[in-house]
Amino acid sequence: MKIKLILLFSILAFVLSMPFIFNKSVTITDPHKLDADDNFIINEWVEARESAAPDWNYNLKPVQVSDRVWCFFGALEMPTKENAGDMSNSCYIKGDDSWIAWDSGPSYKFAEQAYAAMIKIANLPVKTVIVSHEHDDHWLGNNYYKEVHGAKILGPKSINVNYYGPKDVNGTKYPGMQTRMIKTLYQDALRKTELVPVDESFEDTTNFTLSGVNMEYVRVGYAHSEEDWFLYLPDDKVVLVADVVMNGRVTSNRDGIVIGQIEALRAIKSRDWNHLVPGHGFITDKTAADESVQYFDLTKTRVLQAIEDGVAADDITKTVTLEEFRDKDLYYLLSPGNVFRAYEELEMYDPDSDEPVVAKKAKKED
Amino acid sequence: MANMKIKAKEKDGVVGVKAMFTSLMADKEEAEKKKITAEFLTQIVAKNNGTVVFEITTSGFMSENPLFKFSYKGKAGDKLEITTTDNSGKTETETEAVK
Repeated sequence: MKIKLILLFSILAFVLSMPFIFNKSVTITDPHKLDADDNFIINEWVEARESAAPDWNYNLKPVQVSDRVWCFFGALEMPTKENAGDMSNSCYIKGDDSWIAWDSGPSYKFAEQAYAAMIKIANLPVKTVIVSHEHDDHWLGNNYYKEVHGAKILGPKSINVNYYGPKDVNGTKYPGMQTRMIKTLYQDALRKTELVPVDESFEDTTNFTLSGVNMEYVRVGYAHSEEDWFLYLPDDKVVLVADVVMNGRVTSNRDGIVIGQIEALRAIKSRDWNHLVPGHGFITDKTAADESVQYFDLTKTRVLQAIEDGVAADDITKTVTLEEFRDKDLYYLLSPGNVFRAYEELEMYDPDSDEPVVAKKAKKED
Repeated sequence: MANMKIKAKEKDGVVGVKAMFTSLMADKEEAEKKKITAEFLTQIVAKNNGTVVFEITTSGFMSENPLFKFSYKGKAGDKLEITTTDNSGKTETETEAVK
């Protein structure tokens, strides 16, 4: 009798909980946050996250890479409140009478603390900041150098085009684009961070000398992002490549293309260097780019083979898993997305054609 | 610039075709909501050496920049010609040799 009662109550409890177990629908509490296609609006303006806490201490320690180059190495993670955006690499190059900053990190506070660490090595101002690409973990410190040092910002045109407002997105006006760092971090890390535009952009690869340091600012175009550049220091045999190379973790190719990445890696390989500083990762010796070369070569080869074998888009992440990178950080989070995006890119890829790899985006009229 | 990209490859007497078309595929209703001009393909016709092998009437129900796959009996070296017509009556034609 007792067993029967327990069984009966168990069945009753299961039946009562069925709506909660099997109901996977999403309740939309703010329907005004949906766009014309009923998708969530990703460009939503987010109010600054308040914090009365003292400024975040990034605890930055520069690592000397060569005679004139020091770098700060960030965690192999996504940007979080816990790392305060310190998850990318940025560098300082020592010139005759000033520092040249290569990428400025994720916030004003980061840049301020990086400079405080650098003046212990040489008390020089920062007169120039050179930016690698538009992702915000690499340039949100620009306004510190601009406001405090009056530095000139050299960088890709895409930063000014994609981030400065006012912007009109599907009929909604925004004062400018809020970056993911601004949406993610608290004010203790983000305090005083403002978007400042790039002062000067270049159309193509440019050679210049800044504070006695010869540099080649190399345009690699559409690779990890819409517009990527790397900085080659021929006299130092150092190349600062930002996110076209990562090691120790899997790359995020959400804005990039495999073919562009492979071309960028070829351009890097064609330079004579002893040290390479990736955008994410700690390896800076001659093997620094090996993981990225292998990752993109395997992705291209295997995805093209899967397309040839008739694998559908829905199944590509089960077919192409890139097992070789399973032990790398962020593999489970990023690699399937990279493979799926590679499928979209390579489905119409023709190695004999000069046509762009990705179908051109149809232009919308406002 | 062409509004389509075509890949045609023969295997065992069957030509597999993938074709991607550049179009917003926005019908009147979507265009009004997004405050853009309605633009979508209305017809796609594929001919192999002059013979129609694929024909479809389309509308804004399809995704932006749609991609089509179809196959037919043919051989390498055949001439595949695809013609699109959009909602304003404009036509575009591209030709590709079957590999």
